[in-house]
Amino acid sequence: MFVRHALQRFISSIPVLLLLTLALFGALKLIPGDIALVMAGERATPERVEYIRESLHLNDPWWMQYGLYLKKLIFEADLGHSLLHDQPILTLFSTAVPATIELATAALLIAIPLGLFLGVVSAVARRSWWDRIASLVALTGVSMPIFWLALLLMWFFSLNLGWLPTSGRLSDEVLFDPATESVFRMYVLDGLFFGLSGRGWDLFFSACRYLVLPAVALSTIPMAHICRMTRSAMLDVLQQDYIRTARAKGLSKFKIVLKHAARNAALPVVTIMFLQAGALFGGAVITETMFAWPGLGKLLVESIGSRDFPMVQSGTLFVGVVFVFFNLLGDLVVGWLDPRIKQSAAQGRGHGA
Amino acid sequence: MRLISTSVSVAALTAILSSFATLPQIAFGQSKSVLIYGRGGDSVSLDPAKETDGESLNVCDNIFDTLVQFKDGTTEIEPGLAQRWDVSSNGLTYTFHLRQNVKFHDGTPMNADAVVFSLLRQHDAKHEAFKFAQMWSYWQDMGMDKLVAAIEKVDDKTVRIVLKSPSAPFLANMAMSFASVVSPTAVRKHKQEFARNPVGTGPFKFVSWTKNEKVVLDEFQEFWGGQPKLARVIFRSYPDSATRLNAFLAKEIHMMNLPTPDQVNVIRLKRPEAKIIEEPAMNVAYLAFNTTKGPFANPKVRQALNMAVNKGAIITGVYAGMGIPAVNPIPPSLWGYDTTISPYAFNQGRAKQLLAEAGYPKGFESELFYLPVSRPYMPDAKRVAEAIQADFKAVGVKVQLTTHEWAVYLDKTKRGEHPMALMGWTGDNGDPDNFLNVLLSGDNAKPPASNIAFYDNQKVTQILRDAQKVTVQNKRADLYRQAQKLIHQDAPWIPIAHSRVAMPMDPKVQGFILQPNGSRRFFRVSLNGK
Repeated sequence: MFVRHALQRFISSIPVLLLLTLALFGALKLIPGDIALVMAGERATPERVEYIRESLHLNDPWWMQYGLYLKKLIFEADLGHSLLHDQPILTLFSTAVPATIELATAALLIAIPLGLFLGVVSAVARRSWWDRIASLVALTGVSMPIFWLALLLMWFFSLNLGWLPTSGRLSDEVLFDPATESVFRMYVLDGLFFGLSGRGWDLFFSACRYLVLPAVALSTIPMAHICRMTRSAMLDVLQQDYIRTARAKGLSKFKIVLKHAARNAALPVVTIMFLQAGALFGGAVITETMFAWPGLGKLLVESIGSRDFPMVQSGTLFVGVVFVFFNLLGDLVVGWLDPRIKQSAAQGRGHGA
Repeated sequence: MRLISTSVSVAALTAILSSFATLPQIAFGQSKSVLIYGRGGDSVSLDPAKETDGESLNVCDNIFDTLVQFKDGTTEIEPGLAQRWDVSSNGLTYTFHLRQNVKFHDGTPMNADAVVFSLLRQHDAKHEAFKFAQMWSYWQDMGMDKLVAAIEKVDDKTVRIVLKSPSAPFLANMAMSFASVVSPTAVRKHKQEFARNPVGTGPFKFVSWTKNEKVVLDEFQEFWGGQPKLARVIFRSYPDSATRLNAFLAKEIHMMNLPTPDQVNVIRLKRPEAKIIEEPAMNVAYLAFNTTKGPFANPKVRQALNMAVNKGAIITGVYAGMGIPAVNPIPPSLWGYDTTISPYAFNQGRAKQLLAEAGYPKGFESELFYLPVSRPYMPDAKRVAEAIQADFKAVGVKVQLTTHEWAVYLDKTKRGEHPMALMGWTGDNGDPDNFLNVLLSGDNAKPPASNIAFYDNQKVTQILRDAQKVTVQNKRADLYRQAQKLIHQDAPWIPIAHSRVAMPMDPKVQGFILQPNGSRRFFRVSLNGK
């Protein structure tokens, strides 16, 4: 039953992805002026412009270009060739994506427990000082621009206290060549591996130190969302009759909250967690740029700046796929947690339950 | 009791954390040092013939050498891998005599074969390595594909290059990064991936490159020019300039490339011991009159408007002081710059008078195109345009401001659709030809034109053509001075500014100079002499 549901949801996301490829393709076609000339810039020689036109198949009709793009994408898993780097886009992704995953995971490891904790506390102790503090933290989290927060963190922890490095991924003191020595392309994991295999813990400690500030900066928004959602879901549940019954039965407050309320409040919270995860794993443009973190977001910004259109196209598509994937995953987890939802979805009644 | 133990543990934590924190001062090897250079972006690739962007070439210039090279801090040519060279009397054949016993970083010898290989791979479509690049950009941009007839080995230590027509700037082109000599063995081994595994003869050899993070170079002890003073140079990328500033203030990097004018002030305040050197960049920002259109066909009008603009105010207001007012179309760091020309002084009364003499006592209306993008030579074109608009209004010329998408802008100005347009140029090879011929010769005034003033003075065009044929630099410099005088009289442009580049660095950094062509050389650099 669950497998069938999963399969159905998976198939239904394919048209979304196809539509996404078409929209991306269309958007690039709408850029004013000759794309080849835009890419070549001030020094454009006719040969250069013609070369770019040829290599991007700009001389073919648009539907042929689109067909070719789809064919390569689907049948050859070919994301294309970056014009700027003269490298397959897949190769570039292979280093940038793990960096993004490392940062996003770290951010979620901060955001989820903290968001849940603050949310539950403020719901249970509603209108208390705890609630107000949690609300303030959450509100600051969503409304503070990340670039400003990033600068603030650097100013405080690096310039004033001197505790943490401003930016980057690894100290220059650690002799480690990721191109040849990295196993996971994630330095914290590599460091753990190095440490456990007796090659010293320098890499691990350095990687962790560099991860702290960007992860904290990146965690604020998802943390705030999770906190607010947890609070409102908990408040909702805590007013239900069965909670009153549980209370009347004489159960401890702790048990009520954790055992009876939290489970039922979990659905919307899980949904929002997956949505936030989808957004983070697609690359965090501002955080990565501010902290000089060599992830996907930074790669994308660079390709937009240098008008590397194949890269822009594939990068955006990748972000879209990640988002759709996490959405799907979220749906499945929610369906697994609450079987009523997938049944109603199967019967085409939406969220009737 | 509890309070005390908390504060003790906080203190301990602080001590532990800050013991991790100090970054530079890395003792590397025995006594030499590691320099960390913070820059605004990553390299695209490390094949000097493939790329045209500064962040790629700045690294390449430390790994590779050229046959001839720019003397430190100037645009003058000195021997590089070629100890000397002869030019045939007709100016067509250049014979380069190579330095002996020069080794590539991979141990293979640098010889005539390697030189021919390095250049021919960019020139000859049938060459085995030609297909390893999508495009040999600079070779084409500098017109080498049309200029060069043959590149030949004479013997093991002599190379001959034959041109189709005499061209004096050719020698300056050979000092540019794209003409670097690469190890043929390494190119054959790595193919396209040579761009990520570069092997040259320069003072530093390539160690590693982590995309969007850092490039690491180590000293090459067998460098023909002597031993580098640094053991290691690390190029770290900081795409956000505020982060780069923080990294510099936190002493994580020794040098900070491309600070904004405001950031230079912050550094003076917060790290007063830092050294800041400044140098005018090899560029020019200008307003081009379309000399084929309406009132702008009259030189008097153009001279009048030259007097109407307060360049000093633009430099202070828009460039935040990081620029110098331009007098000539070429920057003063170039040889051949005419220092005798006195600029059109800012004098709006005199400008009005001249306009009246030209038949426009009440002024006229026109249109000014401004760039839609920020360029090194003009950080904010809109504000420059607004300043000029106000200045022109004061002498009765009402100007409407227009802009377009960058590609459209380039296209329209190349076709001459503008009455007046803001534009700029960054020099490539430090040869005046690269400015004057490209931007002001009648030969380049047909659409799509690089001379967007469509300035066509036969005399100037002839001088510029002659200057390409003469190979003696003093004579060429004379010719370019003549051309600048004529151009100054005709005033096809309002030369606005040459921007300035600042480089803040740790007081320990010694021996670094800014090169006019924007290159960053670390061969003579040391940290406190180490």
